[in-house]
Amino acid sequence: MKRELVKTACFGLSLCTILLYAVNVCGEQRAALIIGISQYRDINIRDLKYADSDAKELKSTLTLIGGYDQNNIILLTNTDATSQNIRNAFRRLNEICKTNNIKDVLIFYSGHGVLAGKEKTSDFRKIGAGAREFLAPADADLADTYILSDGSQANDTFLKREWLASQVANLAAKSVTLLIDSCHSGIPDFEGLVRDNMRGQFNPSTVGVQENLKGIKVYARDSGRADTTNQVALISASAEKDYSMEFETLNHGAMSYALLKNIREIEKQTELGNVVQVTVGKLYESINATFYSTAVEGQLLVNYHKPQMFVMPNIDSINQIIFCSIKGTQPKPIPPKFPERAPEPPAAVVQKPAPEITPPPPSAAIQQPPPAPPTVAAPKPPPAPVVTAEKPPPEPAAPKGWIRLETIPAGADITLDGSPATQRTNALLELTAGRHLIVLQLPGSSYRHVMTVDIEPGKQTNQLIDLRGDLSVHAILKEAPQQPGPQIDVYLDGQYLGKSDLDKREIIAGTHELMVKYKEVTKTKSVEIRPASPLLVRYIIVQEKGPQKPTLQDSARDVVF
Amino acid sequence: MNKRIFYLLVIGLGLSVSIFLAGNALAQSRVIEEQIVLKDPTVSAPKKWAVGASAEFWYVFGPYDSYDNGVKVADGYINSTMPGGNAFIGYDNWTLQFSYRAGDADIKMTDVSGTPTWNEKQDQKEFEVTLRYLIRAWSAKHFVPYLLGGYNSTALDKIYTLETPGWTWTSTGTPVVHYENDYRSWMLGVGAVVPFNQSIGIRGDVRVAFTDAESKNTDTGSEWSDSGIGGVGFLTGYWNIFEGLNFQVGGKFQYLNGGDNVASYGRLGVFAMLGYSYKF
Repeated sequence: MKRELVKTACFGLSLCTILLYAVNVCGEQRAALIIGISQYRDINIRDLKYADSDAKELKSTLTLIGGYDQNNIILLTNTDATSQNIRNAFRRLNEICKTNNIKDVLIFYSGHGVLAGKEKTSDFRKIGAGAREFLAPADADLADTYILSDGSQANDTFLKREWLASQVANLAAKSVTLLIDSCHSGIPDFEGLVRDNMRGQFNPSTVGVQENLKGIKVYARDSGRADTTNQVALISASAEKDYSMEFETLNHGAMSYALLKNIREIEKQTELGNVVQVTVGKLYESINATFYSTAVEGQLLVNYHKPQMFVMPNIDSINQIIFCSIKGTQPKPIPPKFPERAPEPPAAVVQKPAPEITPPPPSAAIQQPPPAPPTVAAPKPPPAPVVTAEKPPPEPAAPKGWIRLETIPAGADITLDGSPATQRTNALLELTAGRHLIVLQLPGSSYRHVMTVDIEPGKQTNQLIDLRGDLSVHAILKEAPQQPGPQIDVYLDGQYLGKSDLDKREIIAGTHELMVKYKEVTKTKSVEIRPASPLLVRYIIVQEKGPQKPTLQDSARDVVF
Repeated sequence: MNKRIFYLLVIGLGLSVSIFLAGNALAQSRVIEEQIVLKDPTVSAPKKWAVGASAEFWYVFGPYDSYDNGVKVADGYINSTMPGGNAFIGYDNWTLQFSYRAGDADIKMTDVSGTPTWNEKQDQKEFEVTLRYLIRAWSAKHFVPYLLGGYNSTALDKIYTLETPGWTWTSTGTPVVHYENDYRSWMLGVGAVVPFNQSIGIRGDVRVAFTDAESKNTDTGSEWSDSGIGGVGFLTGYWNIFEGLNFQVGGKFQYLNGGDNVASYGRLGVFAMLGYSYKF
């Protein structure tokens, strides 16, 4: 009876452990909004090489090994990441948080950031108080800048710091981690901004009771909400007044590189079945360590810019805010069943045969000493046993599948789950069944094609990826936009392509230098070519009635007579 | 059966529309626009109007000989200054200029025989209207020709004073005789501006002057008239100090030919002018 009771208790305890584990691993729902913008609409905003692929790779990595459900990740890249879409994405994120009882939220942004402040070097000069431009969505428009009455510059096409703080403050999650890989991403007063925006939710309503009034009045009301965020960590790629960089040698933005590298390393150091909760404190520490140990072009990354961390409500939060839960994939070392070292031979023992005890004769007065025992030769020590390392019984082989990776053109480097593969496309790869992160990159190209693939046991998947994109160059006269424009000479990476209007297909995706020449004007621009995202560069010829450059003949008019 | 065909058609049509829309969606481009701004002379109206003024100064010194019907009759030395100014208005390649000059000359003369000597004092007043046309159509990078035409009216008051004692002028019987000469000339000329660069260059022109001249001995009332062909020439180096401000220095030659009955004069001297033109 007692034994039954113990058995039941053990079973219950095991069940509880399993349940607790399951809750720990699977029950912690996380959500993320991941934004990466390489391609900007405004010709005056330089495109970025890696922001979009960094975002895609982070999403895949978090899904594969970071404990994130892909249904809870919103990804916006390039032209999808417009101001309106980002605003909508925050709303969706909040809905996901409420619906799925999300505890931890991650917001990642990789793109351009601007500095708005009193300094003369600011991108947007601020004289007095006012919302400050911060992040550049894909449709940011520098020409939409206007001047306030105090002389401040303002631009509503940029996302403002204060707006971002309000979104973070009102997310229905316990903690929010912001990772911002952009210039000027450090916000010293971010905690204050978040706190200010926690106080209330603004509620627009119509003025008065008359329905025919065309007006609204905005009331601030204290929502007293309990579901607002109360722990926030911001890890920025740089200090407020510093720039952030991306490097060809890293194939990433510097901070994104450090972030992805450290997630991978933690995974590699974690045994299969174990789960490591990565706190923002640990994440920041590891990102910093990478900045202090990785050199690019002879300089440590930290000499270019230094990541910053801002945390609220207090410093203890850095160990409480969970960035992700990394599931280990490394097999456990199997203890050998035999000692690995051959045992020492047992010491040689001279064994004397035990003398027989003979009962004394009942009447003997003097007992004769017993006869000397016969000399026994010490036996040779037995030969050391040959220990053959017995192979552990073979583990059941992980089910495998195959993927045939073909790219146009062939010859792309393959990175599999963060590690470079020995093969290049086109290639047939054998992989363990399950989901994998694959990155393809043609040598010499900055474009990284990031994708996740599901490998089914015993099956082959075929993937054909076109790593080329299209570029069109058109020219129109401003005065006559409907008519065919003048022909301008178009060069790509120094090679003459022809005269506009031209459509150039099948350009290797990545960064290219586009140069056009028309009369005495030459324009050069760096363009990001992406597959399935044809780029049209339209040049508008403006013929200004300005003073022409005086010729020598013109100078004759100055000669009086 | 008909219904089935109808449904199939509807489905087919729907699919076609979907595929068309999908195709359109895929073909959507990322569009970026950039301006190429041209300062295009074909559409820009160059500043065609110009107004300005200049000051000029002509200094003549050196040998000054007198001829009568091609025969040298006297040796002389002239010292003459002729300041002046002008105002002009221009449109495109045309410039109309009004000039006024007033100066004097002191001439020491000696008869070729060595006696007598006399002093000639001249007061000269000159009014001129000139029209210049820059022939851009014929211009090259370093050569801009121009045409000139105009009218010049020069009035000379001359007092001859014999300095050799005992000598008198036949007409007056005194050592002093007073003449007034008027030269009215129509001019036609050609010239060129030769710019070396935007600032420095050479300007030169020659003008043929078709002159009607009158001379009057104011002491006796005798008058003469005649006509002749003379000319004016300039060769200067110029410096466009900045846009519109022009300085010239060089040489000026003037030959007033009043014909055989009226005296003719030729002078070559140093010429300088500083002018400013404002374009709009």
